[in-house]
Amino acid sequence: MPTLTFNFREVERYLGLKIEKNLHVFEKLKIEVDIDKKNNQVRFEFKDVNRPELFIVEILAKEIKAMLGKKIKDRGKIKTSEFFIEVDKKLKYIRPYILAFYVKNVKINEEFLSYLIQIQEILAENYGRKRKIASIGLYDFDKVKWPIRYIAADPEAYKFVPLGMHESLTLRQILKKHEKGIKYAYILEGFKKYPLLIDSSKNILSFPPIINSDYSGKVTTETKNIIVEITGINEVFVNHIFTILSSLFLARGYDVYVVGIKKKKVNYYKGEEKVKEVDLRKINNIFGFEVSKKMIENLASKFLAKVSFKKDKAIFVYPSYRYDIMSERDVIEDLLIAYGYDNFKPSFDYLEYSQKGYLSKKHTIYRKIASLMNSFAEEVNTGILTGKEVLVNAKVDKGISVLNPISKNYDCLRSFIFPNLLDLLSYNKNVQMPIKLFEIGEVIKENKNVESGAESLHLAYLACSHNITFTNAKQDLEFLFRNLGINFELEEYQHNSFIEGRVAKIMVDKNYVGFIGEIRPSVLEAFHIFYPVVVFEIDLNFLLNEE
Amino acid sequence: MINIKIGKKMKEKEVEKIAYSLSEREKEILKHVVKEEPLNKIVQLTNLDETTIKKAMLFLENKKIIKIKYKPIEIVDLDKNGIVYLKNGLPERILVNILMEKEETSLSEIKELNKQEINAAIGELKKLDLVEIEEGKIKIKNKKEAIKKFPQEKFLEELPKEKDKLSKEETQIMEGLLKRKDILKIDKKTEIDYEVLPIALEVYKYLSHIKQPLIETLTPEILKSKSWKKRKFKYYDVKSKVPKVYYGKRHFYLYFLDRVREKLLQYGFKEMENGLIVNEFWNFDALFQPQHHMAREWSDTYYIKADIFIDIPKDVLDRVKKIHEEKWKYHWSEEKARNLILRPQGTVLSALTLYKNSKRIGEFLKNAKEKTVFEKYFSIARVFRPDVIDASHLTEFNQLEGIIIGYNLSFSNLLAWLEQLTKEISNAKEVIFKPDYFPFTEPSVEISIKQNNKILEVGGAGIFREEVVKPLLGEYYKEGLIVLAWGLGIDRLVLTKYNLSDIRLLFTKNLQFLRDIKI
Repeated sequence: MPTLTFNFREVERYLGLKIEKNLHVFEKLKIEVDIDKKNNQVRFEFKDVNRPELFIVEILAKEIKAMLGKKIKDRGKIKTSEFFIEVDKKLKYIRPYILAFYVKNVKINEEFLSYLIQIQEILAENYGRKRKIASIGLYDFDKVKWPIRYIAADPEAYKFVPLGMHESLTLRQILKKHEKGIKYAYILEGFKKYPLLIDSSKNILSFPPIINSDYSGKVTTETKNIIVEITGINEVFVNHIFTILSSLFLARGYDVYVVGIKKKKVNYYKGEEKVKEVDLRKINNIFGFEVSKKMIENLASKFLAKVSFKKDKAIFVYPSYRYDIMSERDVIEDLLIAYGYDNFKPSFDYLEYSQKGYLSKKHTIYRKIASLMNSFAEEVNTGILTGKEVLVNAKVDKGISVLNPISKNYDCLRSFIFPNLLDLLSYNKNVQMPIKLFEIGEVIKENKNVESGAESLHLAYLACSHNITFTNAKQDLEFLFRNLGINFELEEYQHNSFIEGRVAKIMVDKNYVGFIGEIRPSVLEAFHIFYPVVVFEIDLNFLLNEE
Repeated sequence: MINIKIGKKMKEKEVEKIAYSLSEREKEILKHVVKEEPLNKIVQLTNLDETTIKKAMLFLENKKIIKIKYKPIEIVDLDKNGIVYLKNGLPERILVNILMEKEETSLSEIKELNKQEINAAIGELKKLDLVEIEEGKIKIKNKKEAIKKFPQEKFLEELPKEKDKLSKEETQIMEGLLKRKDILKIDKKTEIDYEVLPIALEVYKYLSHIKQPLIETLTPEILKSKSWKKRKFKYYDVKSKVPKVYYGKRHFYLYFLDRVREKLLQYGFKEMENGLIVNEFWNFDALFQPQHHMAREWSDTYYIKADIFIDIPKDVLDRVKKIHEEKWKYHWSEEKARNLILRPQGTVLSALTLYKNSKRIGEFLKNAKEKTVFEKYFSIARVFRPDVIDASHLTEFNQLEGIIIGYNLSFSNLLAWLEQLTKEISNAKEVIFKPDYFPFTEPSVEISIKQNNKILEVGGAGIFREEVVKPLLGEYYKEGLIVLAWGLGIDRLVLTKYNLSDIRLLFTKNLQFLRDIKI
């Protein structure tokens, strides 16, 4: 979840409230607050990943005030401008969407500049998915000659000095040499042409989403007029970020000049308010009681929404940045939160309806087998994810590999359980003998014939003491099958994990269901075990069909 | 008077009880103990080894007949040179022997001894006034005396001896020898001594009343021959320690999970079951998580490549694709949806359950007019996440997952159920609900419990979004369908329940821990 750290006192001053006394308001906006007074810091963790607008302190302040019944008005206004960006059709499959605005006479001090950079970073990295879906560029308005062209450029044909460097590089060189180029090159992998923003004097503004130019793409405390531009592969994300960033400047009292986007003709993005119609019956049903229109109005106002009513519908008008309002239910949740989860009285009116519960087949069998096994053996719980090394040491097929393991102890799925039992045993050198263990659980083998993959439920048993033999294992196996009422036979078998002549296939109705045997000394040695060990492992799937 | 009488009776009873509890060995030892024989004497008399006797004496102490005293003692014994000298003679003896043959000799001529030994030998012999040195030559003064055994020699022959029991002369000899290299050493030992308690004699006397030997182990022969009728049983010390045994035992964690299953069955929940390997479609797409969602990256979900086929029926595939493209406005990729993963959340089971039962749900909805529950499902799902393992994170764990399918159910109904379930499983007194965000529920709730003044987040819940339910049910969907969904981090609750602080213990390889933990 995205988190932002702020200067505690400064944020309190800006929000105009004591954070600690208003934690319930932050909860309603799904923000977890972590205050570190010693370092004068406050950390906000945003749980709702679809509301990146809350990263902006200006918007957060508005939302919080609304929740407390107060209203903040924007001091700036949205205006259209005479300038526009021409978009190259060839960008359609590369990075087609672009929006921009500019603001004039901005007072940029160090603080505001670093805040802008932090916002730009978290929006592009987090919400924009490491700049892939959307990214942001800031430019010095006074160094740009309009109109700007957004083109699909040949990687070798254009050269410029990127931010943070002194030499002029081609686009391809930037991807190989520049720190940001290396980091974000994956986004442009496979494309023959790259996106490029270039002005009418042939000065390059930036190479989105990689890096700005050192010339016009550098904003400092000296910059007066700023262009803000967003490019991306998803229109919703680009629009959303536009509304977020423009709201920031509007709240600070700057007029926002929207730049036109020319594909065939020039269009201006207006950042319309978000409107949603909701069936009043749905509101009542989910609340569990009839909610009055007055109350709906009041609850909606806490989320800055205006309501009007038309027959049995309520029409909600939200601020333009509320892209998370996708359907009726999103509005209803806002109303529920505004009403307060604490204010709902738990109601059991529906639980009177009584039904019979039942266990899955798998757990019915698990219980039966476990109750028999634990009359003489101790149950253990090893993982389904295991290390290849364990399987290799036990001389069984290695399981299906995980493509992105976190450690070599968990890099594949077990194909049998008994290697895990040998592994567990190797960690228990000083435990009192005899040791008898069992585990029931899933194993995975590649087998196309099984629906939902290649999973089966296995029972593995392991016994170890200074004088354990095959006979002990066979006695325990017989005990189990006798009590299950199943006849089995043992057939001679060869298996790499077991001593030759002391291993057998377990057959039920002439079908193979598992094996039993005495572990080979070389295998014991691999696990550093110096006592004899006997094992049986059974695929319980044949029972699934019987139950 | 009365008191004394009772006291006397009690004592008799006590004597009898002890007498009947003695084993044959203990009786044998007792015979010597009452005579206050020292331990080494008992060894001689009984022909038993010291450890056996000590063990029996410990039992006698447990039965309050004797009191064992442990006394640290020092034993004077031969060291490595001492052993050699005892065999070959002390240096002074060797020197005397040489002088007996040669009358006199110069120091440099003595080859049998080293310089240190010669000095020591001369020193000792001078003390005894047996030799004299003139112009570098040694001469014996008194042959008759010199042939006699030296006190040192006698001392060495009698070792080992207890240091404290040495006579004044012996102590002097010892001190002299200790100054010389490696002749003597002093070992520290603990000697067992004992005090015979007054009752011992009475017990010993009582033993003569026991004519027949006591029955130690009741055998089939004793039962068949009815000899038990004439004999008495030896009393066992019921308080004595016995060796530990370990039998079969359920795993505490799996046992807990089984009890949770039992509770849900009582509430009428049916258990859902499906594979651990799923594809992205059922786990994410069907749950309205867009393909660019962060949970769908390598850092959050385990991906696998295997020849395993998981079906996505065309109808549901088309509906899911449509809703994603309409609502999230991106190009939905079937290829991505088919990627195989290890299920990272139990909610995939709920999605599959809704799809598999869509026709039946449709029939229910057709007839539903007022608030009703159709069916309830649950699962304790093993899930996987590529998290680095530490005291509070596992890479493989369990989630308790469930849905309640019904018509016109309310948010209050959801909260009521969550409160009841959470309290029952966690034993917490207070459950706290807060707004939360999940991609597949709206509204969403975070569930926390308050325990020992600490707030612990234990799960999440909500009402499935229409964007989830509609594509899964297709033509069978009808307005008013409400699916309450919830998930509890059951592993955290196990930790609270068993008062453990490290989540790794749920998968521990430490067998002793498993043997010792209460179920």
